[in-house]
Amino acid sequence: MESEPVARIVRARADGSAQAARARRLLAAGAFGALALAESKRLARAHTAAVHSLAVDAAHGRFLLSAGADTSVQLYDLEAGSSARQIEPVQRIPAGAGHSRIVSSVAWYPVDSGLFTTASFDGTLRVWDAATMAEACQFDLECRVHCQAMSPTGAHALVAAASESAHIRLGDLRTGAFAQTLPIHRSGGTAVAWSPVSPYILASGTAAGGLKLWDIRQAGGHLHAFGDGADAHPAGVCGLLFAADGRRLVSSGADAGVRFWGVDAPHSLLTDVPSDRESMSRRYGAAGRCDLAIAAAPGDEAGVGVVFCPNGDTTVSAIDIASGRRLAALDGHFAPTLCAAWRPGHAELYTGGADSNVLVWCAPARAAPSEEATGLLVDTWSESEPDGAP
Amino acid sequence: MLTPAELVEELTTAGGDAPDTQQLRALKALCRDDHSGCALQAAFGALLAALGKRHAQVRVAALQVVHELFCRSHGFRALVVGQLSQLFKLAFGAYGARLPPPVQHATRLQRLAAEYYYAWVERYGAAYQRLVYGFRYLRFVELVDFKDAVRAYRHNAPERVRRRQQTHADNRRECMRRLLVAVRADIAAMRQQIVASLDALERCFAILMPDIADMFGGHASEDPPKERAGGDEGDDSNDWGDSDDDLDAVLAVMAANRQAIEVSIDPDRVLETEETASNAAVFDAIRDQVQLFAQMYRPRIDTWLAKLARVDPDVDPEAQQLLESVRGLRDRMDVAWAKCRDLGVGALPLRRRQDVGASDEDDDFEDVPDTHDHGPVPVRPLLPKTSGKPAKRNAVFSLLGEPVIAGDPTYVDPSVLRTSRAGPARTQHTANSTPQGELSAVEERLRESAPVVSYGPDLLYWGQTEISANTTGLEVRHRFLGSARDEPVLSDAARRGLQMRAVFLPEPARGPIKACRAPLKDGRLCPRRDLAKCPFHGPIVPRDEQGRPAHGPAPPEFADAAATAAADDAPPRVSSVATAETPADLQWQDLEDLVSKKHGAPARRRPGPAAKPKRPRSTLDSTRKPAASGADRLRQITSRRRK
Repeated sequence: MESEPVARIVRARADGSAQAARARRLLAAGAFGALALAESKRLARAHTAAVHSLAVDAAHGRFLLSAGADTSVQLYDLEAGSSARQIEPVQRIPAGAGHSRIVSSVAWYPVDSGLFTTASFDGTLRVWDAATMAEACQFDLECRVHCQAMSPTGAHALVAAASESAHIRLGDLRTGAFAQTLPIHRSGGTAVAWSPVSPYILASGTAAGGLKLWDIRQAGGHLHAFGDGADAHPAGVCGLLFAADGRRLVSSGADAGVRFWGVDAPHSLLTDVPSDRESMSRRYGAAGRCDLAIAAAPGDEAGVGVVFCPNGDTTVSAIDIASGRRLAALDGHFAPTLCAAWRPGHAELYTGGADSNVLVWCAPARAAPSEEATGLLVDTWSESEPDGAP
Repeated sequence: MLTPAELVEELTTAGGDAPDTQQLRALKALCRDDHSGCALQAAFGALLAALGKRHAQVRVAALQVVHELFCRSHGFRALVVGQLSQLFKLAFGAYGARLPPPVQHATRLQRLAAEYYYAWVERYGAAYQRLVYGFRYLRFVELVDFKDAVRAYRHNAPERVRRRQQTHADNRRECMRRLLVAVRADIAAMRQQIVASLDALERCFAILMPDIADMFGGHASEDPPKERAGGDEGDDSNDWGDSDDDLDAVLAVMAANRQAIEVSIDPDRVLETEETASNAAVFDAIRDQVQLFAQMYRPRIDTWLAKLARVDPDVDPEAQQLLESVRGLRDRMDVAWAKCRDLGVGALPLRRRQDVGASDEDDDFEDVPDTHDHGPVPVRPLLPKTSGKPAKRNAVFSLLGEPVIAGDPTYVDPSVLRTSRAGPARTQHTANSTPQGELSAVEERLRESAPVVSYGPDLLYWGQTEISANTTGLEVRHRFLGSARDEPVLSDAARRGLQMRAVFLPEPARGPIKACRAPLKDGRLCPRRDLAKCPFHGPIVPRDEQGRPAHGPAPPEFADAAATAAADDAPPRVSSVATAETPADLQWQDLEDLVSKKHGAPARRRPGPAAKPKRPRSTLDSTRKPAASGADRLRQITSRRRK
């Protein structure tokens, strides 16, 4: 569980027992694993119920969307309140104004921060104008929508929606109509993810635990199913994420186990990170899914990275992609954690949970408290106490 | 000696409303004195265990101890913050956990926990974010009632202030007491030396000069060394010590005649005692002592006085006595000091402090090189040489007053300088220099002809070829300030724009707008106020009281009327087919009907020539009309894809 001490890594590098790439990877992973609650930054409590989804915009890394069980969507400007003690949401879709049931998933339009999409248990997938928070278009799926995603390549304007129905449906934002239907499993889809490199590759996870890879140009069948005949996650897939190079796929199950798959070699599991607690199905509350977050060390093409996986208890696991070790369990929430979002370029992690809080995590060096707070960090033993010696 | 765990065990199982103060104090002392944090760890573990006991009263006692330690130690706060959920479970009954019996203690536990936790958040929330998150959880998810806690916190506010002031006062007294002890020890150590030095000095003075009391107290054996200048007291001075009769006679004579006695004493030359080979040893001793005083004793005494002055008299009654004794020492030292000065053996630092008047002479001296060229060196008066020894040496310019310096051409006497400066020499100098005068005349003329404009951005950027922009570097590509990446300067166009003066023309003043005043059907006059033309009654013209135009009907109205008349009189439209003389006169609209008739098609009803051509009807019909902003966004996306 513990990340390796820096001194040991450096010593190993010095006597040649660790290669440069490995030492660098260990150091970076250690930095990711040592995240702590940011003492100088706090998001206001805007949700009145569990936060089910978080999204940081990829264009600027500046705006954070949060959506949850209270049917509202909040938009935070993460750079607005650098001096204030608490960041208030700048825009919101009030509860009841948009969706009528819990919002299960929210995502930014990958190319710019002018649009975002939400999926809800009221059976709709809606597209919103971020500037005015007005609805721009709506897809009606007529059953609970668990997850939705748009291709980060920006090559097309298709939004994939995984719902309770036995199909993944692709809606085209240009026409406002469904363009493609992919049959997955009758248990319904819980997670969907686009490849970051190819605009046509799509991965889907089902409530029964199947994990499949699709080429959306072929409606007839999937490219392959992961897991060599068996289900990828026996308890059901909850979160799905491609690594930045598009060659690895991270999936988390309802039992909080995390597995890494090679996209090109579907039959063999790359790494299996079993749940560190006794098996427990359906730990992610009503939505039945979680947002994974992946963090990559900047400027390192070796694939150094950490996946942050909400465990469904009060912790969020930081898992080293390469080794599959759990680097740390970030304990900050007071209720099950449901989602995580990494803010690239700022090395900040945002996590949301059933306690309706959105927590900010950053490296301990940057979590330095303010001057006012430093005064509270000292001991205040009164001098009137007698000395220890009788 | 008990371990923290044992202490916690005793504290929590003792019963009672509040934990035993003595044991609590012992526990706090243990935790305070153990810098490794092991005691804190042990105490925290024991307290958590006690909080987990199936008895509400034990939990209450444990929570009270936790609160005490939480308010003291950062380490303990960190431990508690790490285990907040456990605490919630055990103290609030969160996460579905039930609080153990007995019931009255369980309710008290919940109330106390809310109270303590609210106080923690209020006090330490700024430094421990997790406390705030935990508060949100309890308040909004567990729905813990914090109203009583808030009330209790507010209620305790004056109490807290009072306690803080009390602590402050206590600390202050303690501080003063320590200070007093230190000063007293210091004084006790130094006093002997200072008194010894003072005594030595006084012995030296006794050798060099007589005491005042000896001088005027009737011992005429010595010659008084006091200089008496410019008076006719000579007769009396020799009569000291004569018989009483003589004295009476003298007094009688003095009473009978008016006599004036002038005694003028040069303050710098009170004593005539000079340093000679015979008394050099005494002078050396004095110098040594003075050095000692100036460098050691005097600063020490000053700090004692400053410290003692800060001590409140009620802290220690002896402080005042101590202060008095130190003041006495200082006074003695001052007297001795004055005597030293009279003898001319003052040490440098102290003399500097006392002779503030010397500084303006120093200032004058610094100007000497400037005045050197201005003319011949003025003849300076000779220094007063009333005594054989030169006057006091200047601290900075030791040659001042020496005869050598008088011959130096670069030296000007300060007094001469002062008079020359007071005169008009300087202004004359500037007025007489011709080039400068001409320049100023030209400048004056230019100034008169120059326009006076208010200060603005154009003057700020006047003549600059490059204006640096976006120096903040915060935003690399700024919409207005340009790119900060390579060269953060404004573009040429933007710079020229900045350097141009913006002139804002005032809006021309408009008089009141006249009413139309054309007669209406109901007999009133039209109240409309238009600038040029009333939409109902035509151009605005001057009208009389009844609303008739003052100068007859306006010509534009005529023109309009003529136009309508012409329109009415226009002949009805005739087909050009009937009237055409040549094929060129035929109009295609008329021909079209003929052609369609010939092909058996019904003649199309053609709108009049004034009707506007209609756009062809669309074959596409979009049933769904998306919202405006969203449609724009979609169109943008589409165009981007097609590119």
